[in-house]
Order: sequence, then C-alpha cells, then structure tokens
Amino acid sequence: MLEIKHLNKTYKAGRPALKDINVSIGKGQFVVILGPSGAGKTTLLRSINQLITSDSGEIDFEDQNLRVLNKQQLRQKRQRIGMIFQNYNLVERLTVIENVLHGRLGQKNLWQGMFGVFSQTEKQEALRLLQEVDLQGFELKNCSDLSGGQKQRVGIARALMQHPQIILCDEPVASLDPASSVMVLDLLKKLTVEKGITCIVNLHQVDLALDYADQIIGIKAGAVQINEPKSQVDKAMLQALYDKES
Amino acid sequence: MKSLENGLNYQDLQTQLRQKRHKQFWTLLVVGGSYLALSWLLHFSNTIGIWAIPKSFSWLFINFVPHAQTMQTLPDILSKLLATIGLAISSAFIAAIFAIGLVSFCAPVMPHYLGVKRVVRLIASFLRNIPLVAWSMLLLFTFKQNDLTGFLALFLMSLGFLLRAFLEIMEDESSQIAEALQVTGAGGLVILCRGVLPTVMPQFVSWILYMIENNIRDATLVGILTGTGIGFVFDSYFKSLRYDLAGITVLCIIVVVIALENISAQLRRVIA
Ligand SMILES: Nc1ncnc2c1ncn2[C@@H]1O[C@H](COP(=O)(O)OP(=O)(O)O)[C@@H](O)[C@H]1O
Ligand SMILES: [Mg+2]
Repeated sequence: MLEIKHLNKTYKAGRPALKDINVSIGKGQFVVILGPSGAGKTTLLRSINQLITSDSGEIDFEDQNLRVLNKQQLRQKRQRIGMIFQNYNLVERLTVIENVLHGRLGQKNLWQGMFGVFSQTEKQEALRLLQEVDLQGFELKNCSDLSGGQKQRVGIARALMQHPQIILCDEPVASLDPASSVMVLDLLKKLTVEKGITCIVNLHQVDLALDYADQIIGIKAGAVQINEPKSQVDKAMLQALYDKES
Repeated sequence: MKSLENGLNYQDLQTQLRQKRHKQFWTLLVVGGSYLALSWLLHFSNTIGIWAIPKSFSWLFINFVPHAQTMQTLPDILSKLLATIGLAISSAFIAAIFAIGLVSFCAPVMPHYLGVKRVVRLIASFLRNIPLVAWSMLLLFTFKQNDLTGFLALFLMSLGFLLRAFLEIMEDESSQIAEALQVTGAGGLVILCRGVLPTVMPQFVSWILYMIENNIRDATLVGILTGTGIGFVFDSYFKSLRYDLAGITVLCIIVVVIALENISAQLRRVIA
C-alpha cells in the first residue's frame, strides 16, 4: 500500500541523509524503523507526508506518487495519512475534544475550518474516539492539564479523526514513562489489528520494537540495512545496526 | 530533546560554558570601560552625582507635599488623568490589532507573499528603533499640539514593540502546532485561526497588558511634549511653581500605574 522507491535526500552537500531508500509496506502492518541517532529515521518518516521535500525517488500511496502532487492534491492525500509527534503538538489551551476535532480540519471548507464549525456526526465521532483511547471524562479538560501519556492518546484520537490509512509516529513514546509508553504502543498495535491501519513508528528502544513490530526497517547512515519481517530479525543484525565500526 | 539526541558531551558543554563566561567578562569590561570613559569625557564626577541624591530627595519632600488647598483641583486632575488612561489603552489596543494582523503573515504556514515577512520585520525594527520622544517631535511638526499627535506617537511605538515581541513568540511557539494541523490537510488560514493564534494568544495578551501599563507612563511624557492630558497638567503646574499640585499629579499617576499593574497581574493569572 506504500511503496518507497529510490528515495534520496541531502541536506548538506556531501552528507546524504537518505541514500536510495527502497521499502514496501503492507496494509495493517506495524512497522518499526530502528537505527542509531542521526541515521535518517525522522527524515524518512517526514518525507512520506512531504513535511520534508526529498530530492528524488518515488513515494507511491494509493496509486499516486506523493512527491509530484500539486498543493491541492497533496492536501487531499495528507488527510489519509495521520501523524503523531514526540511532543504531542496539541493546542494546549484548547480542550481535548477541540483538539480531536482538529483531525477533521483538512476536510472542511475555508469558513468552517477557520471558525471551527463541526457537524453533530463529527462531534459524536470525536466522543467515540475518546472512549476508544480511554479518555472518557476528559473531553472538556484543557490539554495543558493532561499527563504526557494522555496527551499522546489525544494525538492518536486526532489522527484517527482523519480516517487515515497510515499513521506516522516519530518517537511517539520518547517523552513518556514506561507504563504510558506501553499503553500508547498497545493502542497503536490495536489499530493495526482491528482497523487495518498501517502504523510506521520510529523508535529507539529495540526491546519495544521486538515486542510490537510486524516488520522492522533498520537504517544506518541514511541507508536501509535491515528490511525484514520481525521473525527474520536476529540479535546479530541488530547489533550490527547499532555497531559504530561496521 | 535536541541536545540529548545530538549527544552534547561533557567537553562541548565545558567549551560552551567557558565561551559564555568569556563573553560575560568582556561585555562587563566594555560596558564598564565605556561608562568610565564617557563620564570622564563629560566631566561628570561620580562622587558629586551620588551626594546630590539625598539632597534632591529632601527638596522633593519639602516642596511636593500636597496640602488642603491642593485637593480642590483634584477633580480637574482626575479628568485629565482619565483622558490619559484612555489614550494609553486605545493606542495599545489598536497597535495590538495591527500587530496581530501583520504578524499573522509571518506564521509558518502562510505562503511567502513577495517577501511580506521581511517587510514586517523591517517595519518592526524601524518603529522600534526610533525613540518615543523623537516620534512625538516628528509628529508635532505635522499635527501640532493635540491628542492625535500623542495617540500616533504612542501607537507607533507600541506597534513596533508589540511586533517585535509577537514575531519572537510566533517563531518559538507556532511551528509544532502548525505542522500538526498541516498533516491533516488543512490550509494556511485554517491552521492560523485554529492552531497558531490560539497557541500564541495568551502570551500576546500578556504583552498587550504590559503595553498598556507602559503606555500610561509614556503617555504622561508624551503629554508634556504635546501639551495634552495629565502630562500637560503636570508640566504647567511645575512651570508655574505649584509644586504641591505637581506632587499630587504625580501621586495620582503612581496610584493608577500601580492599580493597573495589579489588575493586569490578576488578568494574567486568569489567562495563564
Ligand atoms: N533540517 C536539517 N538540516 C540539516 N541537516 C539535517 C536536518 N535535519 C536532519 N539533518 C541531518 O540529517 C541526518 C539525519 O537526521 P534525522 O533524520 O533527524 O535522524 P534520526 O531521526 O534517525 O535521528 C543527521 O545527520 C542530521 O544531522
Ligand atoms: Mg529523529
């Protein structure tokens, strides 16, 4: 469902951040991207939804190459790709439910969007999603009053509000304690299994990756070094990925 | 997080700290040195300067204490004071509206219309670097002594100040939320209204409150120059040697400024 072909990205001449990336990702997969710090995980993830403009290659999603879409087409496609962030990126001063409804802004016309006009169906869906992420009762709390784990679950509900095919997650649990991390990752895993949503997750904890992943992509110095189903990944491969020498 | 991920090590930290200390030392040296050099140039003796302070205080105390007669003029003073407060608030408020409008063009999601961002930055530093007194003088030539002159001087000063403050807040606070809404497929204006402005607004309001406080003090000064409001009242009492009346005028200003600072402190607590 998502095919990345010959993707290249260079920020500074002579130091490519992504080198000829080729990966194929299936529907409903929980894909974990692993690799040492600075390997290019964030760059790869953000190249998918065009937050970063890559230099060459293809990103094929639903029969279209996202790299060559015009602004309007890109906005259409972005609605189908949710994203959650390490720092949650919520509007802290607004309520939980308002933040969840923000997931729908891409589908609104200009005026509805600017004034935040949402239909009853949308509001009911937002409430239902908050139950799904176990935040019933928090609907009208300000996001600034929530814990990190709760904020991340609001972020997930906001992404789900888009009706996405894919959710991109850049270090979603890096700011969370172990218990909250497990809760967030359990939730993402459930989405892949029950809703067939594809989750692509950057992690730096190998143990968590092995617990949750269906597919593991290992990146080192901008190049794919591992690209296997989890069952095919062994300790030696992971050691080589993080080894500074090889 | 950034420093963690990029792995700032102990060596780097030490170098950074040392550089910072060096910078502080040299700044101190340059500032102190220029102060001494300047005072020597201006034949200003530090010791005489310091000894003059208690003397002036006792002069102030003897001459500026109001007495019973003073109170009769109080209503007049208060009405002028009210006009000055109005001037301060309206200039800050209207400047805030303009500043929010202009700074909105600089939100990260807005398209780059023909270098609008650079123009806004230029306006900010231009307005900001011309002192209030200079504005008043310039405007005096054009509009003569009236309330409009005072208003425009305060407005332009506030606009420059708020623009600079808002630009900085916008830069620091808005990129993450803008990104989060961008990925939902929302467009620039929607992101601005739903994400960016709600995020920065509490801090904006805090600066606007500060601007109002500041403008009340400045409006007094501007009033002296433009012959309006409480500043004019103070100036004319002072020049006609009615120090008791000048004293009560200053007292009124102080009371208002303190009251206003308290009110805005309360307001800040509410919005925070
Ligand atoms: N905006 C940028 N400008 C210049 N270089 C960047 C930028 N973002 C990332 N890089 C560089 O690209 C490489 C990959 O970074 P990144 O994708 O953030 O890695 P990871 O997420 O795996 O830690 C690093 O060498 C980093 O320094
Ligand atoms: Mg990263």
